[in-house]
Amino acid sequence: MDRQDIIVSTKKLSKRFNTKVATEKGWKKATVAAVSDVTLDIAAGETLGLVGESGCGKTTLGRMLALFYLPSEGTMTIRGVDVSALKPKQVKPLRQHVQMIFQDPVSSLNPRHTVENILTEPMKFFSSDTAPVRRQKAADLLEAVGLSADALRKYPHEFSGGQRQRISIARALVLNPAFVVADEPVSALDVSVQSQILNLMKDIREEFNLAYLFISHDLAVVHHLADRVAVMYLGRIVEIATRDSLFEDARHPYTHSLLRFVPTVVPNKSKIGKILQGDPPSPIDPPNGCPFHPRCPHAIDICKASIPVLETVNAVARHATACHLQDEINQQSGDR
Amino acid sequence: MRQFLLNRALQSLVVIIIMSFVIYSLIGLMPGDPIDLMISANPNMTASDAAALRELYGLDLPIYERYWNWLGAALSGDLGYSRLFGQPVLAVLLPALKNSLILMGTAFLLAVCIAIPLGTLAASKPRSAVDYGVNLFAFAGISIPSFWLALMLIIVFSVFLGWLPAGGIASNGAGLLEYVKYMVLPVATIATLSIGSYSRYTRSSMLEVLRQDYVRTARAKGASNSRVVWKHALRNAMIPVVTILALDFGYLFSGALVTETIFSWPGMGKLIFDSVMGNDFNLALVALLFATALTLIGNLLADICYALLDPRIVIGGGKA
Amino acid sequence: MNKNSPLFLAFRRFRRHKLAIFSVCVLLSMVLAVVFAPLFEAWLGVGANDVDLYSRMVGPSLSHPLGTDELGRDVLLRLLYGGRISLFTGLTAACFAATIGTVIGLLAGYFGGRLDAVLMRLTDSIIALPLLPLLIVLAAIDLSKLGLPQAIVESENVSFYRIVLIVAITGWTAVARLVRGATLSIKEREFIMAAQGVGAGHLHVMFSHILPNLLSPIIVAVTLSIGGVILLESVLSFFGLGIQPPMASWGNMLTNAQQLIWEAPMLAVYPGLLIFITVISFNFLGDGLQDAFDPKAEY
Repeated sequence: MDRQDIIVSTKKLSKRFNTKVATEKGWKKATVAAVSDVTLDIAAGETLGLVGESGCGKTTLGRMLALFYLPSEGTMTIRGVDVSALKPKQVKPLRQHVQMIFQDPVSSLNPRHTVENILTEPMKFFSSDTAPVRRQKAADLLEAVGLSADALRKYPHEFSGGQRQRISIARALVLNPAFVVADEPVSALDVSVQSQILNLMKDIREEFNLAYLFISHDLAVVHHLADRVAVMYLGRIVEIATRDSLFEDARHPYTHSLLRFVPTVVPNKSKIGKILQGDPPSPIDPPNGCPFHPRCPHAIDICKASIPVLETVNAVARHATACHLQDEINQQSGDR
Repeated sequence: MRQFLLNRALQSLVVIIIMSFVIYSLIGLMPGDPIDLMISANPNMTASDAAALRELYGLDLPIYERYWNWLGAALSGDLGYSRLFGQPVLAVLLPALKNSLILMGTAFLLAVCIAIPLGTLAASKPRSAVDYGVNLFAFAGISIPSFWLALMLIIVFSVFLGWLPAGGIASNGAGLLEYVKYMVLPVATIATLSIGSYSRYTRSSMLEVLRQDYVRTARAKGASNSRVVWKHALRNAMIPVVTILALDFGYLFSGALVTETIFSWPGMGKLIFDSVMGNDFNLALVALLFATALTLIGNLLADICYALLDPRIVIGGGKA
Repeated sequence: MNKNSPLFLAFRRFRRHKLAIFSVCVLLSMVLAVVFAPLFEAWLGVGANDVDLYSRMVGPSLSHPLGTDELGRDVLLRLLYGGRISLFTGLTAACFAATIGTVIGLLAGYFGGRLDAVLMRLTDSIIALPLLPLLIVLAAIDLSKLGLPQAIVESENVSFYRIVLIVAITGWTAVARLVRGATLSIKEREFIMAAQGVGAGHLHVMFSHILPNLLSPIIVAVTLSIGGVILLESVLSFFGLGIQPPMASWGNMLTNAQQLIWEAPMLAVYPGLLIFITVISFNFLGDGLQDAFDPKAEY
């Protein structure tokens, strides 16, 4: 990949939220480390898949990259502009480069706005086009996502889930962004519709030269679309590699447990939640050492003491893993 | 729990203090001032006399200083004299408070005793003639102007039929029956207004409960409709109704201004009205403050009782 | 209107509500009657404020369909002109109060945090106050002591402005609570984040995205509050603290009726009956709208 046209780049990116937890003595202030020490790059036209269980921080990371949250620590650049140094007001001009596709096709479209309203609104903030020009642009976009221009006058509730997601995709394209964060864009849809939307996302990626951050808990879906895949656990990236390297040569025990139950025939059965025993630890009170050690079958003393860092294991496949025992485990499970 | 009570009490106290200043300022904005009244009563007073008197009473000071002086005096027990009644303010206030409590309490109990069975009856047979009848009556109750209802009752029962007195209160030493005669019309007026809203709340709360699973289970087990409604559902349906009742509980102390005034019932409401209209500044100020403070305290008590009763309320210092 | 817009669907549900439809008809004919009051005036050949001390409190006749009052003024005409004032005051004040309540509720719900806490404590406190006695004081204060110019204090319409203002500054609490609650739930929906994502600012999100989704509960709340406002106006006017004669309002027409109750009881009947009919119609209408807008009523 050409390192020149990096769109998004983060270094040791972290996000903490202040919250309150219920204890026996009433409410207590606490901090949630939703995202910790995330370092990654996404190049123009590239799709990075982001997988992990619910609550692992993948949505938070996605929203940070889509400029909804500013980092607590670390740096993040969009097209070379350091976002972490900006004030909230200075973020606005950057928004046209980064857009988001949401999970829920029902709640992501304002029920009181017509499709025309939904699609032309972004232009009001960023262009000086006249109303007819905007409408024409909106109509063109609708056709690009496989809907007819008649849809402009309609309200969201007149469409099916898949059609709504197409409108949502069209909205993300209005400002001609370079990078789109898609947070579980097909998980709320029927299986039969999922592949249509995935293929649409593939097509427009070529047409608009988009970079994607594609968030999903469904490995089959990620395999379909991603060039590279990052695995997230408890706010940290534990393994990242090109798609084939990750699916065929996984090093991290957590990635193993995710992959072990990916049947390739029925994509819908590959939901991560059913695979591991027990719940992931709470991000309010994360375990010492490797975040995965309480559930890891291979954990030894060092796993409880220090947090492993991402180490490159295969430079060609840009494959890096954060595990103290990755060499040993890989030999054992070679006959998987 | 203690934290919650403390917070609520503190909040009420702050509101009472703020309101005492607001009311003090508002009273100061009413037409005329005590010196003007003295001037009109005594034609021999000159302008310089008036100015001297203003200074003597501290009326030339800025509003917050006057408030501060008044507050000091009030807290040491000097609430001043009522101009209209020629008595210390407290001596006028306490009997009025008693009269209001008797009137409002009776009306409140009557309304509750009628409205809850009425609302339950309507809910037990939704869309029946009974339901529509109760609904219509409830709407009438919340829509009728209280003073007009009072006038109509007077026209019918005093003017045409001559059964009941048009207003006033039984003189001291009169029998209980005589006392009740004077109460009938004002109590009927106040109760009619409350029955409307109470029965609507009871009906909708009851319908909500009747939709729930355990009620369906009871039905499935063969319990009769009336048994389900009156035995199983009523108690749970009462929880939201009690909230509404508790909120109204506070108003018992401020009296029913309109009804008391029209029927000349010497309660807090009429006292406030008369003192405001009669430029009796001391009395108006203290009566309003009493009404406000007692209403807030009533609300606070209701809140506390409600919190103690309803297990679903989690009491913690945190999110409200 | 688009046949599939949410408002049209609500309209179709509303049509099933017979009592509400009937109320709309009653209110519309009442509005028509008060708007064309001058026509009645021309037809009867007397003015609404024309005093005729030779025919005081006469019964219904051709020249005075509902008789005359204690100053010999035509009761029907005064009812019509009083209706203008009462209806107009009710609508204006209710809309004013709803506007204040909507802005406060939106701010509290959208920004949350300390602003929310302060605004909601304020709302709770106002709700807990015994309002009517305080309103009596507000209605009685001497405006010239507030430093208002004499021209305003003595102007003919000052009693109208005062009523509207009094209702507005005390009547916004219910709408504020309602709007805050709805804002809290709507701001969690993804389209709010989507709007922010395409560059919308706070004001745009609040008024272009959240507010349209709150219109139906606000309309219901306003409709239901108009009745209350008309009642309040009539009470204050009845006590001589609202609309000032010679301008008629349904409330102040009852002021003297109590003194004359033994001589001319009917004078007390008509204005109150009109208030009652108007208020109950608004309440039925509000109830019907509530059902029509209720998303659970999709059967």
